[in-house]
Parts: sequence; structure tokens; C-alpha cells
Amino acid sequence: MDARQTVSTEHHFLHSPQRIRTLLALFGAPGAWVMQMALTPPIAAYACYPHQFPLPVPLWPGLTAILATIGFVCLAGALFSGYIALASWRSLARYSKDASNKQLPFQKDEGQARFLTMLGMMSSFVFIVAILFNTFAVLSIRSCSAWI
Amino acid sequence: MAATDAPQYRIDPPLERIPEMGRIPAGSAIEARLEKIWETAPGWRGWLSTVDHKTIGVRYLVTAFLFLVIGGIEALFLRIQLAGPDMAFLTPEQYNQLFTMHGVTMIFLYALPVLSGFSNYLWPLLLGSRDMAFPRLNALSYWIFLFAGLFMYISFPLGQAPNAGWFNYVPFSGPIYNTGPNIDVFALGMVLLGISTTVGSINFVVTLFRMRAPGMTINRVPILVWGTLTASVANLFAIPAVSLAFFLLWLDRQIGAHFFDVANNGQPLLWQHLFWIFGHPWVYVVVLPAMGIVSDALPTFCRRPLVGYTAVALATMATMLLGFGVWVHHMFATGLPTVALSIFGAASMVISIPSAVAVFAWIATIWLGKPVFKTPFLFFAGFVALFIIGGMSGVMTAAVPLDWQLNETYFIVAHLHYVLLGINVFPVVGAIYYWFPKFTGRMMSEKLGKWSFWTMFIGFNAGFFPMHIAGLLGMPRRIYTYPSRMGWDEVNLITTVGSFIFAVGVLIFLVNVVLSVKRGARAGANPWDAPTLEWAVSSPPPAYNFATIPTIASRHPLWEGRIEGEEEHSRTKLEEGYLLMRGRETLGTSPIDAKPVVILKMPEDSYTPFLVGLFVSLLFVGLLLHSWTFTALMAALSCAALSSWMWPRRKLGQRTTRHGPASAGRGGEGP
Ligand code: HEM
Ligand SMILES: [Cu+2]
Repeated sequence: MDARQTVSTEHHFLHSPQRIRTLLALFGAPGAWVMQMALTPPIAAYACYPHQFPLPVPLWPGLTAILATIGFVCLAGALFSGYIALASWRSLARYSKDASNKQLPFQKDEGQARFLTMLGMMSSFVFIVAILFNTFAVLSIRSCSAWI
Repeated sequence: MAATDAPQYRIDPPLERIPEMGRIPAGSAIEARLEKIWETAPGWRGWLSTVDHKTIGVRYLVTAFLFLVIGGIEALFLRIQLAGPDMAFLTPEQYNQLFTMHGVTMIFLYALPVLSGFSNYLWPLLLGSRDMAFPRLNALSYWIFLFAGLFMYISFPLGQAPNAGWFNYVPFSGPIYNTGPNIDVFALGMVLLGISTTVGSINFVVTLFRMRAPGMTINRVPILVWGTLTASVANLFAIPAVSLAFFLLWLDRQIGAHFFDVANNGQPLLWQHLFWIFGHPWVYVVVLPAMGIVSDALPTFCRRPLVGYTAVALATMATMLLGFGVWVHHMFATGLPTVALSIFGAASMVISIPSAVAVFAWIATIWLGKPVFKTPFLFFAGFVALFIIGGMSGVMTAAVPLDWQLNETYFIVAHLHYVLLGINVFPVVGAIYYWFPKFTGRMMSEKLGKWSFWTMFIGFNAGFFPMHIAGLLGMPRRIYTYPSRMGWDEVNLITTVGSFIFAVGVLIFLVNVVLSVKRGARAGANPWDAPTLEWAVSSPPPAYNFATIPTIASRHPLWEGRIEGEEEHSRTKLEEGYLLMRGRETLGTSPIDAKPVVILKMPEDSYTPFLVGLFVSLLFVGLLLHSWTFTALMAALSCAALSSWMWPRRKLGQRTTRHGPASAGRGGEGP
């Protein structure tokens, strides 16, 4: 049969709005974790060691609150991406159950959508845990150095 | 429409003709023509000019193993010196240079290059392509690696080798405390090696997204490929930090800059940050591809596909990304704010999640499979065991208070050898046993193989486990001797004996290699009955790899139809495929779903990569010797060689005709 038709249906998945959701599910939580890692240690370092000498207490009294807020915002972002991943997974499962959809894009893409969505769920899980760990790490200690 | 129809994709018309589908019977005239197109000139000319990924891969492997042997001999010298208290086999300065060169050699000249060797050899075969995306860049990467390795050993015979440890901390490595050429050799050598690693990494990344056979969608990529891809992407972010660090240090030492000089408001901690921002990702760079090797090869011996492919792929990538957020665990004792310590400690612990996922996937694969106890399987199973031990001591040091106790003791030396030998050397040796038939067309001896495994495994544990105890007894690392009253005599003697047993194991392995190259039993295309694509071609593979470009329909193309519960509708096509033989050609496909999009014109063999590598390396020699005219001359020659390399060629479709875009398609190599 017409080969071109095959090409166009098979390309369908990657050109659909699903694509944005997949990208978000894949990279949302890791991105949030990177944000937290990029903000928290430098802010803490500056607050505790602004010039030549370390301080016994942070420059700003609300340091822990600031860092915790960053943690919660990042956590919210990661949870959202996890939610998107889960939702995509569910809709995919619904699709494949429906036998009449055999010829639809999700069937035709040879498992790519399943794979990417699964990756998204797993990466969201790992990085949600990572953000939680970081946030606990911030909350569980005094901010500035134990060295002086 | 039946899915079994030969898939015929539309290749972008302005770029190329639509290639025909067909078969090329073995021994036919067409096959001979293909052979002719891809063959390398005989003799030294071919030797210096070849860009064949298989040749380059083998070179990487051989060179890296030579460095492993050199680094190993250095280690044995160290162990002789430490065998008993108050020994005077080595002077303190000799000890410093030897442990530094041992670390540098193992980490930089063995551990990654050996994996690059496997990846270079195997990637195009695993992916169903005819070469890497940039074959000449590949050759350049090898030559610079070789020259950088030689460069770092330049001062060794003069007794002036690098002597400040592999992480080369300032101020000891700065101009005040280290006046000889020792550190300059290391600094310049590392910048040079960085070029090799960078171009090599770019090549892997582009190859993955461009060179997969049609049908090898993103969910069918072998795990070794995921591992090397992840490592390569990481290199592109990590290498600039270390190259910068060493360049700044060189400026401090040679032109009086003060980046790390406290007396002039420099920052010694800047060195540590720049080094470890690179250094920790690097330790994953040297293990993830090795873990990929196990994930791909272990299933062959378990007679079932890997359990949890998706989870292992994700674990690989997640480990690497997390690995960029843990470098401060090497700096717990430097006085950073407590928030930084606790955050980096927490992130270091999170890494154990993806690592555990991978470990459980391997264990499940063994558990649910029907293991065949061949030598490679033993090495892979041994790897899992050592990984668990090394992982445990790793999590322990991620705890800040415990690390304050363990830092700079032999506990760390034990940990780093468990992870580096466990996760790199054991899989690598197993992988040689596994792919040796593919490389050479001959099997390695099973009998010697089993001997080599058990000697290595027992020797390793006897040698390195007691180091944990030495560390707990308070023995610092990097000491050249110790008095008897410390109570470290027995553990050190056991360690030395174990090290020598391990070395004997490596020797048995090398003897096995040498004997089997000549006299091993002949191997067919697929002696292990393995599932992946490299086993579809003859052993050793022909220069063009695949006579026709295959079409892939699953993750284990050679096991299709055997696995229960598998969808049956689509089959991988190995015999019939795109015929590409107007010059060196291969197929370029789309990044995610691997649809054919372009016919890539691959470059001919060329001397230019060798020459560029040579001149650039000599340029660094000029810098080392402060011979500025020579340096300038080499810079000019490098540019000339580069221009000749890059000169647009009609054959590669890089010179457009008056009638619009290139008549012959688009080049594989840059303009
Ligand atoms: C026969 C095998 C080996 C033996 C007997 C051995 C032994 C040693 C010894 C005695 C030290 C010095 C400890 C000190 O004084 O602080 C050392 C350091 C080290 N080894 Fe090994 N080693 C072996 C293989 C390897 C391998 C295969 C690797 C990496 C792939 C490796 C990586 C390192 C590193 C990175 C250091 C630290 C160097 C430094 O402190 O700067 N070793 N090893
Ligand atoms: Cu580390």
C-alpha cells in the first residue's frame, strides 16, 4: 500500500501536544532538582561566608525559611511533572485497552510512547525523592558553620 | 496494510535519491565491490590514515590495556614498599610520583579509554550502521589520547613525574611548593587529553541521534549505548571545568597569575571545586558504560532479556544527573557551611536509589534466567558482588560525620578500588572474554578463563578488603611507610600478597589473550547465541559492517520469535535492506523514531587526523619547554592540517553545483 501514509501516521505521536507533556514529564522533576541544587548551596554559602571570614549566624535571619521555600517550590514543580507523567501513562493505558484503536498512533509507534512515559514516571519519582532529601537536609540543621 | 511489508520510507528528495532495497549475497560481485569501497590501504599508509571505527576501537583497547599494565606495575611497587613497616624500597619522593602516576594512569589513561574502545568498536555494529558519525574525528580522538598519554609520561624517566596525587591539590601543586616540571606536565597533559575526550564525546552523541538503523526506535537502544551516551553528554559539561582548572594552574605556575594563591587573594578551594565538579561526574563516566556492558552481555548468559530495560536506562541517566550534584562530598572536611554539607550528603545518598535499581535488575535477570557459567558470566556476576560492597562503603562516606573519620584513610582507598575495579575492571575483562570472538574470529580458552577469574576475584578481595580495616585502624592514605607499633603490619602484608595474587590473575588473562589470538578455536558469527545486532555479522566483521542496512523490529533482533509473550507481527530484517554503495555511504535516521532521512556520505581515510593530533600535541610540548617559536610553528601547522582536513570536497557533497544543492547528498563530516 501507500508507503507515505505509513510515514505520516507514524510521525503523528511526536507532533501532537502529547509531545510537550512527554517532555515535561521527562525533564520537569530533574529540572526542579537542578534549580534547587543551583540555588540552595550558593545562597547558604553567601549568607554564612559573605566576605573574608565565616559568620556564626547567617547574614539574614530568615535563611532557613528562604531555603525551605525554594525547596517547597521545587517540590511542587516536581510533583506537577510527576502528575503529568501519571496522567499520560493512564491515558496511554486506556488507549491500548481499546481494541478498536489498533491502528492509532500509540500502537503504530512501536512502544516509544510507552517507553518515554514510563521514563517520565520513573525520573519524576527519583527526583521528587531527591528534592525531599534536600529539603530535609536544609531543615534539619543549623544553617551556618559548625567550624567556629 | 500489513505491517510485514518492507517499510519504505521517503527520504528527503532534495538531498538524495531514494535508495533501493535489496539483498547482497555473500561472495557476490557486489559484495566484493563494497569491500573495495570500504577497505583500508595496506601497510603503514593505511595504519596512519584509517578511520575505520573497528580499528580505532581495537587501538583504544590495546593502548588502554598497556596503560593498565603500567599503572598496575606502579601499584605493585607501592605494595612492595608497604608490605612491612619501615621499608626503604622506595624513597618518599618516588612513592609520591608512583602513587600519583598510578592514579592518573588508571583513572585517565585506562578507565575511560578502555570503555571508549568498546564503544567505538561496538556502537556502529550495535546500531546497525557502517561507522560513527564522524570517522575522522574518531581517529583524531584516538591519536590525541595516545599522545596525551605519552606526554604525561615524558618526565617519568627523569624522576620528575607528577607527584601531587591525581586530584593535584593546590597549594602543594602550586609554584611555591612544587618547582620542577612535574605538575606542568600533568596540567598541560590534562588539557590535551581533554581535547580528545571532548571530540570523542561529541562523536558518540551525534552518532546515537543520527546513525541508528531504521526501526531502532529510542526504546530499542542497547543499554551500553545509553551508558556511553550518558557518559558522553556528561563529559561535555564536566571536561571544561577540569581543563580550565589545569589551565589556570599552569598560568599560576608559569606566568605568575594568582588564581589559587592565598597570599594574593587567590582561592585554593576554587581548585577543589573546579576539580571535583569534573571529578565526581567522571567517576560515573568510567562506570556507566561498563554497567551498560553488563546489562547487554549478562542476558546472553542468562538466556533471557534484561529485566527492567526501562528502569535500567533511567537509572543510568538519573545516576549521571545526580552525579553532578554531589561533588562537595569530596570536600566535606574543608569548612564549607553546614547547609552545603548536608545537601550534598543527602544528594549522595539519593544516588543509591538508581544504583540499587540497576543491581536488582541484574540480580533478577540472573534469578529468572537459566545462567550458563561461562567465563564472561563469572566476571559479570563478580562485578555485581563487588558493586554491592563498593556501594555500601560509598553510602557510608556520604554521611558527613562518618566521612570526617574516614577521609584520607585507607578506607577510602579500599572504597575507590572496590568501585573502580569492581565496576570497571571486572566488567571490562568479562567483556573482552565476551567480544573477543567478534574482534578476532577466535574463542578464548575457557579453562584459562576460569583460572583468571578466580585468581583475580580471590586476589582482589584478599588484597583490598583488608584496606577497609587498615583505614579503620587509622592508617592514612598516601604515606610511604609506617612504624611497626601502629598495628598495621598484618593488614598491609595481607594486602600486598592479595595484590600480587590479583596481578597473577591479570597475567593469566593476558596470556589467554595472546594464546587465543593465534590458536583459539574458530568462532562463528554468533558463538554465544546472543541477541544483539553485532552478532549478526561475521567475526571479525567486514569493513563495511552490514552489506545492506538492516531494519530493526525489537530490542533483541536475533532472539525474535523465541521469547514468550512477545508480539509476533514484526520481524527484524537482516538480509534485505537499503543498498548503499555509491562510494562510502550509510543511512542517517531521525533522532527519536529512527526513520531514514538522509544518505550520509562518509569520508575516505585520511592522514589529517594523525597530523592534527601530532601537531597539537607538539604544540603542548612547546608550551612545556617554553619554546615559543616552536609553539607558534606547531600552531600554524595544526591550522594547515585542519584546513586540509576541512577542505570542501565534491565527493562528500560539500561543494554545491550551480543547479542548487549538492548533487551527491550531504556529507557525514563537517564542512
Ligand atoms: C593491581 C591492582 C592495584 C593495586 C595493587 C593498587 C594499589 C594502590 C595503592 C597501593 C595505592 C596508593 C595508596 C596510597 O598510598 O594512598 C593506590 C591508589 C590509587 N589507585 Fe590503585 N591499585 C590497583 C589498581 C587500580 C585500578 C585498576 C584503578 C582504577 C581504575 C586504581 C585507582 C587508584 C587511584 C585513583 C588511587 C589514588 C591515587 C592518589 O591517591 O592520588 N587502582 N592503588
Ligand atoms: Cu564523588
